Amino acid sequence: MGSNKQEVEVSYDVSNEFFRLWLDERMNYTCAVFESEHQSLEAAQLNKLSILSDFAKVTANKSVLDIGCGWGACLEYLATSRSVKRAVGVTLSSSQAEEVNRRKLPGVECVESDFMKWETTEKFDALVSICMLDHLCSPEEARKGKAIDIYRAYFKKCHEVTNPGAWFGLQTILRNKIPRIKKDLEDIYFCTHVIFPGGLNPRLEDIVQAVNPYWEIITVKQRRHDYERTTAEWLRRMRLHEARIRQEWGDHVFDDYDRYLSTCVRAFDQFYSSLAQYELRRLDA
Amino acid sequence: MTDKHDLLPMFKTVAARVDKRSFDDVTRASVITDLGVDSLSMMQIVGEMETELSIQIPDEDLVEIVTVGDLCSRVERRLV
Amino acid sequence: MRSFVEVLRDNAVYTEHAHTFVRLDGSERRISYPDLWRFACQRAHRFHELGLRKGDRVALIVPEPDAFVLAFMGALTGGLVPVPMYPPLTLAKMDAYGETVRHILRASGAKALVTTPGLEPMLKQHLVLAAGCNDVKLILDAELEGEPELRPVPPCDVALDDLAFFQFTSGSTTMPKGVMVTHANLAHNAHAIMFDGLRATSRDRGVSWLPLYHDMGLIGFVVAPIFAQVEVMFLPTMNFIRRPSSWLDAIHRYRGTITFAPNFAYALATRAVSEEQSRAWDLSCLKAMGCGAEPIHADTLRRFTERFARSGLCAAALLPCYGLAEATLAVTFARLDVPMRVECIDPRAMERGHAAPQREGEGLELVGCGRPFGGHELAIRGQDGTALGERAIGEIWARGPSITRGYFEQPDATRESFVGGWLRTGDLGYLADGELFVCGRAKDLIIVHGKNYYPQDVERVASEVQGIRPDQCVAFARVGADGSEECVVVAEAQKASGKALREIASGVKQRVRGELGLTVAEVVLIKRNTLPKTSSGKVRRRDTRARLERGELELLTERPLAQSVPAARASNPAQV
Repeated sequence: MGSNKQEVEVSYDVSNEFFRLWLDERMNYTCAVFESEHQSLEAAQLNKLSILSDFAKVTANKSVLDIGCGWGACLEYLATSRSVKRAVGVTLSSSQAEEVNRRKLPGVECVESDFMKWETTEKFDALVSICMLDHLCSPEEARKGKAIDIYRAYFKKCHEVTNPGAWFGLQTILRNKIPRIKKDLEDIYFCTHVIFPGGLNPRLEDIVQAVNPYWEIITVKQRRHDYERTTAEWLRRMRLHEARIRQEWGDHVFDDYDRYLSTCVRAFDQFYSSLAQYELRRLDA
Repeated sequence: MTDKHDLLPMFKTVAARVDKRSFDDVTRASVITDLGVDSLSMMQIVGEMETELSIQIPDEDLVEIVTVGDLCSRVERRLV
Repeated sequence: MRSFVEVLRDNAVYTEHAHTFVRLDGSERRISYPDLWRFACQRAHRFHELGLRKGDRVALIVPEPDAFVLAFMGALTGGLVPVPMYPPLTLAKMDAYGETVRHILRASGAKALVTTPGLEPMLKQHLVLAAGCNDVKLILDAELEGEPELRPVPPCDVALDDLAFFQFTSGSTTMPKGVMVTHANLAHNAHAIMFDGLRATSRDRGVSWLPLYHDMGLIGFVVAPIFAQVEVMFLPTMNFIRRPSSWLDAIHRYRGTITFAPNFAYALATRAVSEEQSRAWDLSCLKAMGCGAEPIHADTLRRFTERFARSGLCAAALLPCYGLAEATLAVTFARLDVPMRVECIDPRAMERGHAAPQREGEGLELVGCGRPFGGHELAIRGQDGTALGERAIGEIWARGPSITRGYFEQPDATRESFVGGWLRTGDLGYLADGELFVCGRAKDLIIVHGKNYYPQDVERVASEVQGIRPDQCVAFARVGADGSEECVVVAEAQKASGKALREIASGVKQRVRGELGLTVAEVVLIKRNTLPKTSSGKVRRRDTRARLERGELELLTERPLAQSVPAARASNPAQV
């Protein structure tokens, strides 16, 4: 197992208010895709949702599943901007699930569950999953050579919950190269143990192997510099609220997140990490 | 390989520089984790060897390394 | 890059965001972002039900801002090509207005015209008369209305390569031409304006009274802010003209951060806002006050910022910019948070085509309009198209993704201005450290004895003469009796007695000679409110000249026998 429920709570449950200070207003905690050099984070986050929805061939008459829905930014987008008749989200975090259901978005339902163990008879016409797969495999499992099997089980599960003809807009962080510099190594170790415990990011070739025989890769878009800009903007905004964060959540929260976000910016710049978006077509038997 | 580097002495020198202690007793059979080298130091040692030899070792090659000899042979393979 | 329609759709998640429309009767209407999208889809379907299809042109003459914006967005969402037109400003001069309407309808090939019940009878009358306009379908604005769809889906796809709308140029120099603006042009220019120029985020708020049928109001406030989730408060243009304080008052109340206006509006606000009206204002919220669309006078802007400094206005918020309809809207922006850059230029060196800076207080003041947006490029070129160097004055050429496709069904005019990917702007200027300074329009140059004079400068100086109505004058060139070019000034006078008029005329001549070294051949004084203007209030130099020659101006004094012919275009060095 990668990240379990406790670990996801560690990652996301500092306090919604804390994240509200430095994420965009819709609370997207994943990579935005910028359309121009100085575009705002808000606009770029909507663009990201637009791209993934287009990859998933979302239209108003379809039902869509968002695997790892976070605070529901994508569900909200699917329900309001794309007018889909039904949008279901799955998250491990109870506070996220409550938050999403409290908003009573039309056609939206959020389920608190481990997607891999989630039992449902419902079949969806389209899938979106944004940076959830990154949490599935632990470093220990990767060392034992289990990564591909774990990811393949995920793609199999995705296949099972979809109707024939489904499309899938997937976004994942990627790991590329382990740093050889001590400080970078320590920073990344810190991030994977303190901020996001449990998960090890996949490599691009892992995904390429694991989608078979369930999904066909139609498009892969590399977005490394978009994530560099996204994390740099989060860092900039968080630092604007330094005094308040130190006062309300303590020095360690500010210092930890400052280090975490700085490390992310550098990791994407140095290509230790990257980000990819995939347009996947369901392989129907 | 005609111009064969002797990689064990190089490992000892680099490891001593990175971890600031002696690695004189190390052999190719030594298990890396038994040497008290953590994964961070290990990657630095790899990085310094890459720089000195002007090679790049893909991360995947580093996954199954257990002994110092494993590391040396991975590096040798890149020197062909 | 997403199109305007896709961004409008995506913005529906901003449920708490809204545009606010102040209506002519003073009431306010808020339309939320999700409703903007739902109304746009509903109207798009309505257009299709009325028989219009993707690519069809639809003219809009709709005075109320909210109705106009919804019709415009609905047309774009339905893949139609809206042709925004100005409503009649007064009941007088209806024949001239009808002529313009017919010209634009014919030139755009519009299939339909959306208007209001109040304007319908007059428009019907004009259209029936006109050849080529008989089959234009009249649609009343109310026919487009309906319940917004709960699950809106647009009737067709709109691609970036598709035409978005036609922007008819004000026609300062020729009869109106329809600039073909694509969705890609709109997206690129909106990104450049909102993000490169204004660094806007969803927290920003725009305030605008600009007419929506012109590029600055339409693209600047109806189109571009949507790309950055910026909420806008729209005021009717007439509210500002009647009560200039309403503009700054709205900024104060609404906590506006972004506004735009031409130079004249800054002068008007400085002059017309009373101490009492402004006492309670806090204008510190403003981070960008754009100024463009007409020549920018440093003095006007300085007086404005000095006047409102006590209301917390930050002088660095002033943002001179340069652009034109053929480049969608804007090409350059001065930098945010940096005080405006003013240069004093030696007028004699300028006549020789070189912008030599002088000490402060000497020479002509020019305001820097900033650098081109990312991905855009400027060049200063001579009459033969050769590139000129730093500080050389020549025609401004522009290149980049905001440059439009040209004029609709006018291949000759298009070929003249759109050359190998470059747009010839017809404006004169120079570059200093990459920053653009605009000197005037190439076509309006006055060249006397081989020296270039800019009509804007003559007009500015003439306006300062006692008895001339400020900014109500034009200067232009004509060929004099001896075959050389000479300068004429036509101005509206405040007084009517013969002696006073003679004094005013000689005052103008003296002042212009004193400040610019130019001898004015004739000063023609005319009645108040009779100077030909464009719909946006710009003076029409060529039109004024033509009317003077035809004896159509309402003169206050008798003129000596006309002894002149119009200036030959070939005498203009900046023209090919």
